[in-house]
Amino acid sequence: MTRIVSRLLAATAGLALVTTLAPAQALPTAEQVRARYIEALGGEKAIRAQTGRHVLAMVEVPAQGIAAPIEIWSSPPNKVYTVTNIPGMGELTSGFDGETAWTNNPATGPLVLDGRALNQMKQQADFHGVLHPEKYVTSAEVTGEAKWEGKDCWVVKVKTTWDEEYTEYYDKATNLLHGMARSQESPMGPLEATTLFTEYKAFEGVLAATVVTVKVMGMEQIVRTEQIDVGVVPDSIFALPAAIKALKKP
Amino acid sequence: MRTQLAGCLVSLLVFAAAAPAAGQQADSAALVTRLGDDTLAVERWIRTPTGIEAEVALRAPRTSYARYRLFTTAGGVLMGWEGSVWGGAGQGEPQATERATLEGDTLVLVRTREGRTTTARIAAGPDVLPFIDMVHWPFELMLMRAHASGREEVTQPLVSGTRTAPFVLRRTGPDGISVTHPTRGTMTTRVDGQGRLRSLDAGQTTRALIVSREPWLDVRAIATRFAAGDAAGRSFGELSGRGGGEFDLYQGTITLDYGTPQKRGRDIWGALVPFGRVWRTGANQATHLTTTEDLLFGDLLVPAGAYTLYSIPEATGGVLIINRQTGQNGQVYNADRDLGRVPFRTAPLPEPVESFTIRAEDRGDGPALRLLWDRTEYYVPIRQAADVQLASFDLAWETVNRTHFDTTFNGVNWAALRDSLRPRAAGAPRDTIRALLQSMLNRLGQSHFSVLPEDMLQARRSGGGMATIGVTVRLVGDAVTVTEVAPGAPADRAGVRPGWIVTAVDTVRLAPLVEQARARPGRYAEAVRVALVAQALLSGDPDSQVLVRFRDADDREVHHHFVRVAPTGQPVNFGDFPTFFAEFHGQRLDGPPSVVVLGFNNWMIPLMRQLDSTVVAAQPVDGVVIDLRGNTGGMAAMVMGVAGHFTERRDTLGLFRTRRQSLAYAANPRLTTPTGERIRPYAGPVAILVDELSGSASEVFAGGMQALGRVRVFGKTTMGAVLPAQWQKLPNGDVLYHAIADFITADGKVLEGVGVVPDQPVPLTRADLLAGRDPVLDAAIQWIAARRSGTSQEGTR
Repeated sequence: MTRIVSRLLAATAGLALVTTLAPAQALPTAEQVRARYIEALGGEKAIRAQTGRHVLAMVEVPAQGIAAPIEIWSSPPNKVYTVTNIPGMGELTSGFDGETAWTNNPATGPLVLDGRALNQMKQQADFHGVLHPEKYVTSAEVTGEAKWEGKDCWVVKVKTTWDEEYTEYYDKATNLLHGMARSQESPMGPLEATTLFTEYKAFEGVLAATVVTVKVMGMEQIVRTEQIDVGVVPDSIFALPAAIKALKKP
Repeated sequence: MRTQLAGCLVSLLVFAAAAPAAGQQADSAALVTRLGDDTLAVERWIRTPTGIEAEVALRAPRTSYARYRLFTTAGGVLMGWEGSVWGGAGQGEPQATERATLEGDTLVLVRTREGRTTTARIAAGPDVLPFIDMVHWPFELMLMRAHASGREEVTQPLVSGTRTAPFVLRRTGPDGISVTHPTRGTMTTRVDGQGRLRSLDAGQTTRALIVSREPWLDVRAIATRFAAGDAAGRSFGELSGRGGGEFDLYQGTITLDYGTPQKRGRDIWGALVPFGRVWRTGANQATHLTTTEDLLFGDLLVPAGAYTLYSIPEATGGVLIINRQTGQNGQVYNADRDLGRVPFRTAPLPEPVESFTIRAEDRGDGPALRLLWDRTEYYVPIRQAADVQLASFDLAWETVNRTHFDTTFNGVNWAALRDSLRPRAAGAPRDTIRALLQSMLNRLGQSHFSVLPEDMLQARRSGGGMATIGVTVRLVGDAVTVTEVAPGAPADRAGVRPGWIVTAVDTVRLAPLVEQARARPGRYAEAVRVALVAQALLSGDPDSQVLVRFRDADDREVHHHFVRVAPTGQPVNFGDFPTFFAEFHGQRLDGPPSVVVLGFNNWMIPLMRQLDSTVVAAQPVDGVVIDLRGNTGGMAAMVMGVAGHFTERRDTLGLFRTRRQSLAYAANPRLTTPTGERIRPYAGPVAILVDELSGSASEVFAGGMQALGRVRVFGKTTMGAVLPAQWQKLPNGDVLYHAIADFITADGKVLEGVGVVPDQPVPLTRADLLAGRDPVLDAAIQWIAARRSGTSQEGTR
């Protein structure tokens, strides 16, 4: 849930951590931070037991008076589909079917993602990504501890297989991912975003942040989860829209 | 604390009485209904071949004892029922009686209360059952019926008052059936192999009761004990009474009226009141708050008036919702009536609070609205409205300070400017704050910095200030001249035609305005300023009247009284952004050359569907003309989608440079239709028409496409107001509109303050207008014709 919601806004949780550097004394290793995080979420067994999710939420931009419903479906190993209906703008959709990452909105039209945007989508769509970070991450290092967004956190620097670097912050008290600072790809280019994960709640034995706040371009966007249904999501949900299929034709 | 203790004592009594008793019969049952750790009711019944006999002891608000009989034929068909209710333990005459008799398809209800008898007849069939508030023996009957039906879902009519209400029963598992009350929500039940009620959980309804099947009970004896408890001052009381009061804050008074649910031993926050869901913030009737003065709750301005309160509690906060609707039950929540939402703060309470309590008072660190229950306080600070105005000034200054793309603030000492103006903002009314802020923003000398008054924004939603007589005017030569008349509009019906000169609007003569504009150079060209002022004078509220004086085609003075009409076009509301009335027009000129002309008054995304289909349909034509004259901008993201109709590459129209990052307006080549048909972007000649009121997104598009060499621009130099902007709601309800980025075209041109200079300037003359000519469009068509014949390659990439 944490990863799914954050992806909708801008930055997202790369939950991947592997150890390649010796940690400083008194600091945990990145692998230890990740292991504690998995346990805090509910444990590997509970995470693997989940076979799909359907999320109902509201996305808000309080400073601009914008509020819109958002729906997200996700399924292992790495499928996701989202739909948002913003008054005055229309329906915005995006997805990844395990191969093709795409977005579609009435302002810009359909778009197949490539390059870094595709890599980020692959990572963020990975339903069990927290359990196998090595697929996307070449190194992760706990560089210290810091007071960040009101919590004492472990600071973890992450480098991806496509040479992107970003920072994750893990709450020392709860071991949960508290937030991250990451440059998120968009159709206009990379956007510097800070993402905050709060109000973790358990859904079928696994915790998910039910409030995700993204600070981007001086604005705060908030996604408030209203409901999560855990269970198998039909594959048809993730089928590429006709416009995206057509874009893939040679 | 006293209530809590009483509840414990009564629970002990019930459990003591709950031991199996002699005489329990096989087809009989007993139920205990609890609210938290308090016992609310006990009941038992005996089923006979011709009906049911039941007795009930109910504690709320004070003890009552009741007996019921339900009659059926030997075959089980309902004939009716009767009931008697006594105050206390059941001695003497009953306080109320009811007899229900089924006569064909009519249920005759005869009720007596305090010596007064009423009769009601309602349509009902033999499947109907009585609904008795807080009593559950009829539930067993309907559960057994549902179970026996073998269906996944059945609807059971229950008689409540003088109506039948549909209760929906749905199978949830081999031993589970849910029961949905028409208004209170859904209960879950556990049933045995015959569908008999084993337990009921109404925790997700407004009653939050728990019912369990118990061994045989002596209900009469328990009623006697309950009554003794009442006499000793330990009555159960209302399930949720009303609380409230008046609280003096600052120069005014806050009045609160709300339901007071009790803790009754239950966990409240995150349990009885779930996190993350809208909570009625009380019980029964909605919680009402009235303030006699404008106040600031958190950062939300709450003008004097009446409101209702809702909330979404979270473990570490959540939000208080202040809603404009009043008079409704707390179950009714209409989000579209929200005044706003305010983040909660939380604090632990030293002692658990039994009864939900709301207070408006100083909590030691300043006045606050306090919600107290169980072991947690949720609160929001309250400040005076005077603070609201100053807070608005501060937030506007801080927002620009934080987000302006140029850290030199275009040469303005931003901090010093605040210091000089802020003393005048302290204690100032809203109009003064608006003037101070606009003055401060004007000093930046850049576009897209303004204060949008709340009342203007609200009025605009219904066309306020936007109604017109249906003419477009521009400064042509030395005169404000009609350039276009909308067909069928008031001006058209009055015979006004392009080329007429507007000499006065009501009492305002326009010639002096032109002279003043020329005498005082401003940030915008005089033609821009004059046209904007003239358009504003001609606009007003729907149905308002205006007197306009003209010089007609023969230079005769004429005047007309008009009633302004609401703007045509599709209203587009996007958050707190001003309402736009979006219009699109497209036409095909068969030529030669064949040309599609399309235009729209603002860049509003709901127009994209029409625009997309018009461009796609244009594929066989010799040229496309995009008319952006008078288009003052809108949602800039659209330029990427529109540009993609005319290029096969992800060309960058220009860069959007904030203080920290640089983003690209990149064309998204349109290679498919929404239905998946493969298409190619239009590759033929494209002309863009602009004038002095083409601004913002129109300039991004025209300037960007011009820089790419993909289009040829015709007309007059554009407004030069091109900065990408956001908006920020201020605490006083006004909206700050503020630029956050600069814009540079792909070939490095800065358009802000300069505008898009046409490739082919085309002057507009009164003679052309009077002759019905559009020289700008004509020039574009001539260019397309030349391209078609191969005599021109201008505008080709």
